[in-house]
Amino acid sequence: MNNLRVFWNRYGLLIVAVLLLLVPQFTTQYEFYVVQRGVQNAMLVLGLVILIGYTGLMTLGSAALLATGAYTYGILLLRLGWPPLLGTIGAVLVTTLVGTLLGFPAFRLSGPFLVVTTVGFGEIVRILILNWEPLTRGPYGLSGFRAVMPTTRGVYYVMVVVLALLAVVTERIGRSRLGLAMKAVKEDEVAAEVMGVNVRRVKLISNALTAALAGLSGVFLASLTGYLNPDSFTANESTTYLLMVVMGGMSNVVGSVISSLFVTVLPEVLRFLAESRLLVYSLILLVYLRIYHVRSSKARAKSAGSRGRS
Amino acid sequence: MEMEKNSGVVLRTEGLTKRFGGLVAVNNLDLEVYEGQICALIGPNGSGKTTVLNLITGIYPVDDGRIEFCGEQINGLPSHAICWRGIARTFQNIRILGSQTVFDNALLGKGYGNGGAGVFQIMFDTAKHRRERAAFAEEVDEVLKFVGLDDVRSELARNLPYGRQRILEIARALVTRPKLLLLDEPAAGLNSAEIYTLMELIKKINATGISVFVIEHRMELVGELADWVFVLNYGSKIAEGTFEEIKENPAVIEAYLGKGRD
Amino acid sequence: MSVGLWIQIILNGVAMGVLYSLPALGISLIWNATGLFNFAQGDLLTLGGYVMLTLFGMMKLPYIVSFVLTLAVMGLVGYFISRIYFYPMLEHRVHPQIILIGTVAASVFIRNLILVIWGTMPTTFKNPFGTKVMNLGGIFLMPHVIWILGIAAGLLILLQYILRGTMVGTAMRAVAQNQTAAWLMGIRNDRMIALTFCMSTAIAAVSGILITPIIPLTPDMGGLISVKAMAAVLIGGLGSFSGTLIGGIAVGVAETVFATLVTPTYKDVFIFLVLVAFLLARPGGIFRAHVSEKV
Repeated sequence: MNNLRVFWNRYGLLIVAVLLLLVPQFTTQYEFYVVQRGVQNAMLVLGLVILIGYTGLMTLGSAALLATGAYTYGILLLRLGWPPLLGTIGAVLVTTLVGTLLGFPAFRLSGPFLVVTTVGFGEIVRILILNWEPLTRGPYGLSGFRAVMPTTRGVYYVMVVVLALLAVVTERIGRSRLGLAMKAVKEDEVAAEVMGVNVRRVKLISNALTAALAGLSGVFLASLTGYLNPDSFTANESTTYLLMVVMGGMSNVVGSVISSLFVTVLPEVLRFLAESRLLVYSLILLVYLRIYHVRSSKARAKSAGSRGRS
Repeated sequence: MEMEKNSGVVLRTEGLTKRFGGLVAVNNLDLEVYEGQICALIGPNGSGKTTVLNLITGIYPVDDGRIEFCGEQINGLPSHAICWRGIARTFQNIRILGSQTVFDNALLGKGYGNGGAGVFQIMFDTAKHRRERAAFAEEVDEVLKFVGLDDVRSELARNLPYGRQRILEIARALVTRPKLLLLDEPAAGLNSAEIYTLMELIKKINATGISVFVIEHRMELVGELADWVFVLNYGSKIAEGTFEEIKENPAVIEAYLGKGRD
Repeated sequence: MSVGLWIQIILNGVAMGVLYSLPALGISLIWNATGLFNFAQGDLLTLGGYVMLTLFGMMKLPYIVSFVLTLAVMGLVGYFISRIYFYPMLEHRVHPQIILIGTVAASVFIRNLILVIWGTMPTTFKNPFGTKVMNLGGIFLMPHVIWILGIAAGLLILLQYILRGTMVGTAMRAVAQNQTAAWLMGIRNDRMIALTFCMSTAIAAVSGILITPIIPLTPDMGGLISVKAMAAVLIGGLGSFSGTLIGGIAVGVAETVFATLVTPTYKDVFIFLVLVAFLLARPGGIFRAHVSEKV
């Protein structure tokens, strides 16, 4: 059992990546599309691993960052005629900038207050997209831009490779001094600050990285669908991303990738869920939080009781 | 003249004042800690001792007065910058990261943002990052050995017994390479064997040239360790001197035992 | 612009604002009792509106009966949410971030439950206060504006009485101040917290019932209302009763004035910007309730 775990820790990511590369061989066109969406979601969720899992900053604004990335890409290509690669870079940069600005409220706010700000941010972005018609075509949706790669398979292979690299990097950050600083910010901000962690900078970096990943995910989303509509970036989407990262174990990189794929694919497998997808998800999440966390809190209290004293 | 007076003074506060609403928690406090000294700050419960530490480490903003560290004014600086200048502290109620290992807890003392490998170097795991990692690991292991926690290096911090968690907090503070170590009631909750270990450790730390400023309740500890004692009551300094002098001081005795009548 | 028109706009704003104040008071009560923010508050409000829709709009029960029944149902819902979900999590000291995620999940659950039961189409029921515009000396108002103000005022007085004037209220406030001490005095924390949830859900439901003449019911309307209620709580100062009330009114008036004078399209954007500016400038709110972090 223990050996299996060591094996999984070492090769889990590789196994997932290889399986993903093989997917196009076995799937119908629609199934393939769903898996593509899963990979694209996983990219964004890796960012949430950093922000929520490591640094402990909650957000419900991820769909808005995704929209920023996707729309910036579309607009840069359509309105300015940039080539896809340049458009990708531009979109990621713009999203990172926006996300970093979003990091400033996190200096003074925490917990619920921060979540309120991110919800507000999400709404602002959605309303702007809906009403800024000359740029975004509002409710009609934006389409007609080129994808990152000429063929769908091309986009997919690039996505899988990028995802694998990002997963490695996220894992690496988690194990580094920066990751430790992030986890310290999550557990005890004051202690971290007093021990020489520049908490503000750590928060900004977390936000910037998360936004960059969301922006990249947005570029791929635009490439996959070829059509962008404000309705695909609602608060519900943000919650689904939250679900993905929580079910993945919050700070577990491979777990989050798998959970993103799983949560994306599940409603296609269970077709009857289509309407009530989120109902079932949120119920699963509620039950999971209630049972798992109460149990682990109990276990922690028990071990503290037997080993230490105070 | 001024220079000469400053040399040897690690920490100086002048007219340090902190108010919470109408309550004056620290009132016009002057302190001086000399290089290589162990100083103690004592006083009855609620006399504002921990507030003084929170002011020195920048957790609370100072209302009035100034704090100087090695001749430089540090009040107004953010806490992490104060740490980088060489002041480390522990907390009265232990604040370690329970879900991280002992090693990682100590490594946290290296902080973040004070130079060293940046985000991109970490992301691409550059040679510089690898070198830094190895150097830090070595340094942390040295400190763990120094305080005697090397046998539990990979244990989760919350699984350590209480006494060793306190030592871990001191180890984390030492990893920051401080010139001045602030200890907030380090003996609270320890048994006598653990207190003995702790005293030996504090002496050993002091012997390496680190000045120590300790808040303590237990008189035997203060008597054993402190070169100089400050006594605080209702936020004001009522006496200072060697432990022997303080013991005989009527104001101190009154503060601790109360007036005869009343 | 004439004074009458101004009064008209402001009164409409106040009526809207009171409807934000009610769920905000619920949030405030729960915050005081448990130290957590209930993100599902807005969705409980929506659920209240829908229950009313079924009782009054579909089953054609008399208005008063439907009103009381809705409050009873929603109170029970609040009570059970606390009993089976939040109190156990609090009791076992689950990390606040997890509980926060729990309230977000609860919000999504309620929203989608409504969607599955009642569908996505915006719905409303007959305006019980009539649709004839009243002319009060040159000020034109819909009758529901007056009714909303009246009912909300009555409810607030009742709430104030329960909290300040009864044993239960005293016990609830004791739990809010110091759980351990209250427990040692023989107060059942679990019951008091469940009761707090029960009350705050019921008041949110009142808002959900009264809001329908102004805004039609949609399953996801709770999200926006939640955020505005939270804005009310934060602007007014966490945990302060009168502050929350005034915060809600401030939000409602600001929104209505902006929508009338500038543009209704960006009224939500405006409120969020105000909120963020407020949070950054004065995290304590106007009526700064005593919040201190022990270091």
